[in-house]
Amino acid sequence: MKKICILDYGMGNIASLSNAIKKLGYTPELYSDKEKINSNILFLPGVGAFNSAMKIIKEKNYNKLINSFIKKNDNLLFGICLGMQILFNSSNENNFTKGLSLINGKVLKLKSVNKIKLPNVGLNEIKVEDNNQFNFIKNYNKKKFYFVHSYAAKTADKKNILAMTSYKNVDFTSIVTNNKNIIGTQFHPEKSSKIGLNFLEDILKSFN
Amino acid sequence: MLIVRIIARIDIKNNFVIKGINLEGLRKVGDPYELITKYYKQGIDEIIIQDSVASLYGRNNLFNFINEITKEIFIPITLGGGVRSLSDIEQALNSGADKVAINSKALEDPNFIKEASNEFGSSTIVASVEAKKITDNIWEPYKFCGRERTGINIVDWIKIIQENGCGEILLTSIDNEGTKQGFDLEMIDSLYEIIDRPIIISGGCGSLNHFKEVYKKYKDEAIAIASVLHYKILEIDNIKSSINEKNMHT
Repeated sequence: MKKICILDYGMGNIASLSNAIKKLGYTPELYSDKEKINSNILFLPGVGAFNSAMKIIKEKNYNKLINSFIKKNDNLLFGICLGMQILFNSSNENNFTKGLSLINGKVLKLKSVNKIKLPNVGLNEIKVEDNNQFNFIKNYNKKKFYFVHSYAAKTADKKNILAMTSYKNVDFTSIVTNNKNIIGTQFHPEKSSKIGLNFLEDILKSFN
Repeated sequence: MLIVRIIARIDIKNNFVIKGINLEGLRKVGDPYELITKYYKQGIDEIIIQDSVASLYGRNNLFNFINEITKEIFIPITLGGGVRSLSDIEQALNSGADKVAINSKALEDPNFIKEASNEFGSSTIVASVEAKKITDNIWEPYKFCGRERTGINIVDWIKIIQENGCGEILLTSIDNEGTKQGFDLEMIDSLYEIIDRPIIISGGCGSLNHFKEVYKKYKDEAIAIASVLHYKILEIDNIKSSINEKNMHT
């Protein structure tokens, strides 16, 4: 069984993610400063603002840590919600801020011609795109997951999109991948009941 | 397609789940751990845990409970009752809650909502509004679980909490709460235009028809229920299938 680590950079509720991973039979470690990451799967969680998250990540040099972690092809980086958004090039939340630039695209406020309520909070369906590497995600087509966000990713290359979701006719990327060893979900699998736990388990197994 | 959120509201007093009528006459209905895990297994989407006496006595002993329950249930949890400081919120989130619901403290110090949403993010802060009808078309938010008047018009209050950056509004009708006579559509109608946040409509649900009434008019908003679950009047499965589009015209 591979080792799992959650990057604790002070953004949001990591207890529930840790509990979900434990429920699946793994023993996640919380990464706190010191040494190198000794795990094969690294979770990048996060609730809050993009600019605050990137500020902490840069101050603590976590960007370098993440970059060296993903150089190893059988390591998996898994971003959730804000942790998924910072995988992209930039966001305009509060002010223009550069992200980790591991996937091409930008994060923008959910907007439509009609006034829409923000945050988008609640259960919403995902529409899964074909993908060879993450073939099993097809099983989750039209399944409902828990979202809570006001900003969302616009992915530059279609090949990086694993699933899309629509809120009030605004389409955004709900699962993204670099087609190698990075995956990110805009929704919270750890807050999406049994279906969310199954999803997490499938991804963890696929890297075991 | 966004799916209506159905939220179980669990009022707790002295380690028991309780239920009243118009937020009064509280009656014990069961063990919180048992009821919450049961509703989770039945498919509830979210849980609101309300410490019904905490705001009166300025204490909150639910943190350990949240810590235990979040090892077994994996849906969003909101903690309300006695949330009076930023450190209360921090403790709630560290125990495993995803959001906090704030009422009395905000009515004493409206700035508290602003401080809280700046510190923890809007999506973490639910403004809880518990209101009673005063006269024709005028509702007033109450403090301390419906025990104390504020003299504020609900319309003004909603504008303030929105400007201060709350992420959601939990809107409870004290008049209908616990009566099982249906949601307070009159109150919701009068406020719907000015509310630009997601709403959790609470108070009065007693039958499937009450769901349909709300869903027909406000299909994007969340619905909080308590009596129909505690007294085994409805099952979550039935509720969900009854509010499918195709069943709405029957």
